[in-house]
Amino acid sequence: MSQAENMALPIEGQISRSELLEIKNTMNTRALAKRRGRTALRLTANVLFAFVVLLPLLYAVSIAFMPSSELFTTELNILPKHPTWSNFINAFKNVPLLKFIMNSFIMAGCITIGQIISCSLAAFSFSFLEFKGKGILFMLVMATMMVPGEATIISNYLTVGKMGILDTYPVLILPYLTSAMGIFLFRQFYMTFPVSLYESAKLDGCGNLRFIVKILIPLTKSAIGAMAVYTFINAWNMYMWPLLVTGSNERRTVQIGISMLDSVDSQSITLMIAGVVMIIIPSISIFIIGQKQLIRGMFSGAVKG
Amino acid sequence: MSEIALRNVSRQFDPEHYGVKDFNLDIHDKEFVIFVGPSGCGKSTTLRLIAGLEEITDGELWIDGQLCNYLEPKERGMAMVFQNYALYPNMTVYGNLAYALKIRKVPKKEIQERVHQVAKILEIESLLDRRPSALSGGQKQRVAIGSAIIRKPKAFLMDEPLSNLDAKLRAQMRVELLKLHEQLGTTMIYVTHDQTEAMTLGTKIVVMKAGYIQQVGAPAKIYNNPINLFVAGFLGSPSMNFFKCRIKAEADNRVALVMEESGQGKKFYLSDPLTKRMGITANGRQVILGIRPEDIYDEDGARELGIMDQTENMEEIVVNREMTGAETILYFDEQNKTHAVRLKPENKTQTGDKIKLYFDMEKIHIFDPETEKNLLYREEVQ
Repeated sequence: MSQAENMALPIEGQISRSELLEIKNTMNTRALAKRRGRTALRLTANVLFAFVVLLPLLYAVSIAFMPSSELFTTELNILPKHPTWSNFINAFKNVPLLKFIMNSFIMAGCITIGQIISCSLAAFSFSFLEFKGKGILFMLVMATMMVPGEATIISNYLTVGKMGILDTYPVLILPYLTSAMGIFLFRQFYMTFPVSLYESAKLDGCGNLRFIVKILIPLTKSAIGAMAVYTFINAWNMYMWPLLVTGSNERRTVQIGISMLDSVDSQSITLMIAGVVMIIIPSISIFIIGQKQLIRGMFSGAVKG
Repeated sequence: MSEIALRNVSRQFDPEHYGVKDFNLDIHDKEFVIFVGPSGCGKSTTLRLIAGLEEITDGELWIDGQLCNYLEPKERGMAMVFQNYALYPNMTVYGNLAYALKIRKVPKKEIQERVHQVAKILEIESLLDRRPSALSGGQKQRVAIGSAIIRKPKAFLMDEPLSNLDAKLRAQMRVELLKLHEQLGTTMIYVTHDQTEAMTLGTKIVVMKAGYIQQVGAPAKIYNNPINLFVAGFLGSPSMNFFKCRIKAEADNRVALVMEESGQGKKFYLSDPLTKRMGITANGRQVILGIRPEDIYDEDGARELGIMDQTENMEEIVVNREMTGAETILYFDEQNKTHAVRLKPENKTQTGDKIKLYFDMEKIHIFDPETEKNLLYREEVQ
């Protein structure tokens, strides 16, 4: 007999052992039912809320499969009655959508890589190196975040115009190769990094560049991931600048291409929505792939640990 | 071989604020030097100056006869152990140990040999494949020490390496550090605010305060012969008791210290050698009498030692009692301050009881209240 069974219960004599077991069982079942009920309620509320938020997107997907005759009626058609692929096919026929998608990928990819390199290097010097005017310089960088992009767009256009690189890939990429937001994000991440690690590396004989490549970058993968997702989606969604500096189908990005589907001559909402649905796919998939990193990176430094 | 010499070294943070000022010290080969002092006294800064992590504003740093002020940290040949271990989280224990050698382009085979050798010394052979996150505090500490040892540096710099460990592990690591020092025979410079660590580890202690060196010497010598009030109060736990007194010249050339304020006007007679050593015995001069808790005795202790009738005793009310097992520490209030007595565990006096206390007058220290200097300080002992 084990020791636990040998021990007298505090209420022994008033209640038998089997009765006690029964009480335990009913209480267990009740607690379990309560917990299940609560989970179900929470799940329903979440599904409902998600549905409300996703409604416009789902409706857009639905429209993309409708023939235009179905959309322009007085009835409310939520789901297509005669689903068709024709909108997608026509979208590809009317404009060189694949070329545009390709252009967007090149632009967004180059901007992302460029920003990660420049921002991580800048953030490294702002958080690990000591130099005169560091505080003021960082403040200046931060101040540029307060200047709206539209305010500089004309002077930027004049500059690239003089450089003679209009309607090329470099003109889409060059002005966005660094960002104050990225520098800030990386710096915040590096601030949580123990300085003694850097000092220890220095005593080990490790140079700055080697420290960045071998120690800092492997340890800040999540910040880099967050930054990459954020930058890529922003670049993918750029509209104003590509519209201004590109003139030919050869260099247009997908956002401008989509608006080309909608013209005075051939106004077709269904066609355009089909295009939009197609170009959302890359940005959504990037987000899904990188969301863990994005959330972790964005909130890093918010709490210690 | 490593001789480190600091000559008038200063580190200025801004025009008015010095981290370290006018620091002069010779560190000889194989010494275990401890920088000790309250937080903000400049001990860590001095260590970082030697490592090259801070710039020396003024003065010279010589290592093995070479001026090192402007040498890069890696060129100074020092290895440092940090308080938070500073292990690379993305590398295994093996990688951490090997990293410094890898940078120095040591052949792979030799790296392997040395890593295993160091792992054996520190008993971390079974941990070589683990990442730092899978190690306990004590194990991390060993790895940190290991990555310092492996480079065979001229000197080890340790910045409060044990302060993140629990009390038991700390005591254990202290013993191992001593063993390691003996085994390797390398100079060690060790920073701590823990005076137990300072007393037990060091062959030479440097007591610092507000950026200045107060006293340098062997632990026991500093403990028994502190140069001033600060050093006397800093080393020892519970710390030395201080009483305000006045000198009174008595008939037949005897000199007494008379307790001031609420001190009941008790007289403590100085022995002749002490009187001679103190020199100035102007009647009425104010002094501070310092005595360590272990140099105050209860009636039994005093009788055993035969100091019962040398001086008057003090009758005090115990305000607190700590029983640690090996000893009993009683606290009493006098001159608006709490003082401590370290007695044998057999003493059964409880809080609120009265007790008669006897001072061992051979062990007292006398300080000047203005300059805070120890009037009984013996130069030749250092």
